[in-house]
Amino acid sequence: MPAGRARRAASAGLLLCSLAGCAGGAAGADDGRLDVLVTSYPLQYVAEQVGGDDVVVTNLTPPGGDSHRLEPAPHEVAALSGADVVVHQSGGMQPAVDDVVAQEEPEHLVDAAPLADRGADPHFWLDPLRLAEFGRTVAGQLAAVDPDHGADYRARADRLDVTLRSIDGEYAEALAACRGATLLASHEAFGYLAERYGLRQMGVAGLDPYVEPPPSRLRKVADEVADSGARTIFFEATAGSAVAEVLAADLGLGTDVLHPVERVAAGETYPDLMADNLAALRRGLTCG
Amino acid sequence: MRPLPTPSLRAVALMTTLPLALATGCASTDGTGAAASTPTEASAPAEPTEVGASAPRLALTYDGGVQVVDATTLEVLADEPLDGFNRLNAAGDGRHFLVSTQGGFRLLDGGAWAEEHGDHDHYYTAEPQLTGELLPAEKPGHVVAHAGRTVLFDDGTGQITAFDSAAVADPDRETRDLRTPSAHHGVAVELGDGTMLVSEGTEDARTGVRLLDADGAELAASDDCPGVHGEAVAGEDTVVIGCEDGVLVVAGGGITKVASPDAYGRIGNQAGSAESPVVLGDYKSDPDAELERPTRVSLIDTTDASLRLVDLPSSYWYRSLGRGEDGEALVLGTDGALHVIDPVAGAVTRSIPVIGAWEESEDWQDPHPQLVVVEGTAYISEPATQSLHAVDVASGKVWKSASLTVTPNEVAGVSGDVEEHAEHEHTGDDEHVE
Repeated sequence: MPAGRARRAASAGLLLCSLAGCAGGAAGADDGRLDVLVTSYPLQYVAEQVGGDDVVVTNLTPPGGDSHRLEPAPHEVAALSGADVVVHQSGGMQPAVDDVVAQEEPEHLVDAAPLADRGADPHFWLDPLRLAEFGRTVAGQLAAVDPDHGADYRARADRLDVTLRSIDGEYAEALAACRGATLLASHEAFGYLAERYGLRQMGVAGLDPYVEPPPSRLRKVADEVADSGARTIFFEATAGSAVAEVLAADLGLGTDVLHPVERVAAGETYPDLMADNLAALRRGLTCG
Repeated sequence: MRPLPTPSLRAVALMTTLPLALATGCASTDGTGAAASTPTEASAPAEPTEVGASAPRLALTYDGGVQVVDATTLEVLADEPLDGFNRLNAAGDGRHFLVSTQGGFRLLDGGAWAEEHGDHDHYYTAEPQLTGELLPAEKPGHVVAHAGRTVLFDDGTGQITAFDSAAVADPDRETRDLRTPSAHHGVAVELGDGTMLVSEGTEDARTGVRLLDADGAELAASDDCPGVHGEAVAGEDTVVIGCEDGVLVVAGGGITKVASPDAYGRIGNQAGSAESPVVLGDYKSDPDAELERPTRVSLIDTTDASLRLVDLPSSYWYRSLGRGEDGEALVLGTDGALHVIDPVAGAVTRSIPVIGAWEESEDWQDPHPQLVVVEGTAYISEPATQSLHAVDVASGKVWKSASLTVTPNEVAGVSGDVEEHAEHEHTGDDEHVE
């Protein structure tokens, strides 16, 4: 949204509105359910799984939206301060939201940042066990705010834990023979996944799945991946045929898709995308 | 790098934090929060699109406008009308161009940039456009981007304006302003340590350079550089300035004169590389020539302040010089070939036929072939056929050619990426000024 528009909305509001309780505009707050505001899809998934029917979850990042670039509009800033619980991951993944959260100081904030302890890489949720741990954290906070449903939140967190452990089990089993294999990623989002399953993530810069790369970039990639033993470059989206052909012909590399599960389209879910990712890894990694 | 040249929403949100509780009362009643506005902002940029890799861009001027071209596909992405004879420079932030035009330096958004995201970058594209941003100048001259700083020189006033390259699109950018004692066709470079190298002279005679500290106090000076023109940076922070009888090498706060082998041996256009301590320069030796068509170039080794000449199979002109990604010295010849020179051996290692033979015209403002290098690809324009060619320097292959709908004049390129502070791929620019 253009800044000018937001500014105008804000100033118009100043003139017209009173302090009356519509600030929590995210959802109908009077039905007894908790208003939970989340700032990205992985957090939404956890909040919905753990909160169940006792909460209304609103995601500041719309489906398919770019979570990094999210700049909350004024009404969303207010939703942040009006929500019963805010679930956010600070640490620079969404700098504009970080600023607003720091400024608004939501009364109940669950911050996923401690789970993302691999340097600057925010994508902790690609390790299902880390996400399970976060589920328990969210359940604890929801129970604290809404003690009447505390047992329900904990029970749902347990169910989420079972789901995520099952995903972890599938990964561990399928990738057991791949330990040490190089995961060539065009977007280095898979560090937590690689760490959990004994893979070596290597970033391959300069390749767009839709744009046939110039020879200078192909050479760089060839230099980078030489000796890695890898045979597939994982993109975030299906590579165009021209790109796939040139990578195959010039570098002997296949292409496949790994989804960072960061921005999802309507209908896509964490378990489904993780299953797709595992299938791609099984196809593309060089395993013993 | 800021994604959009608009005030940050974040700032708006913070500024209005207190009243927001009031403001949003009405926001939630209609569910959009933006009912009070209509999306009619005149130049609101389209939403950026995230892309998988950096997307280098070229800009080219033609009689009547400027076009932005995707440097990977050679597709024309935007065509903006702009009257007059306009000149192009990369702005230094990897995204924008500065167009020297009537009234100053006009900002052209190439529409591709990177945003740092923890340990890696995300890449975005948007529609390229001439922005409304104009950095006023009476006679806009050289633009020099180095070490994350961009320096503009106004030939009409001697005004020097320096700022962080990343802030080029920010109207509130902080500037460092200097003025030379006399207006002249000059040049200024800000070095990594904050010192500023400034040419010295008048409209009639350009004589030397001065090296100034951050407060403008003189650290060193030389008046041993008749006709001073053009700059290039070698390696990290060594500057080579052209003279009519050699060059000045400026390094570590000192200035060293390197003489040409001829009494008149003019070097006025140079190309440097972060990968090489050797600077490529043109070389003219006929003081009386109306239009000299030189067939030798100079190689200035800044490690031992030596200069040697290399014979080429053809002549070239002032916009023929460039550097490859490994520091190769490149010269686009009038024989239509790109000549690749090993700057250490001082020998032509390869001549790549690219375009038809051409000749330098009497009027330097006429469209001529141009060379610009981005990421190891040499882009060569051919006005005679209205075409553009991409040459992979390392392999010597022309890997893409495209037809244009206009006759290209000046060409410049940007990386579409976060600029490393070691960006030295600018040439000394021209000797011509109105």
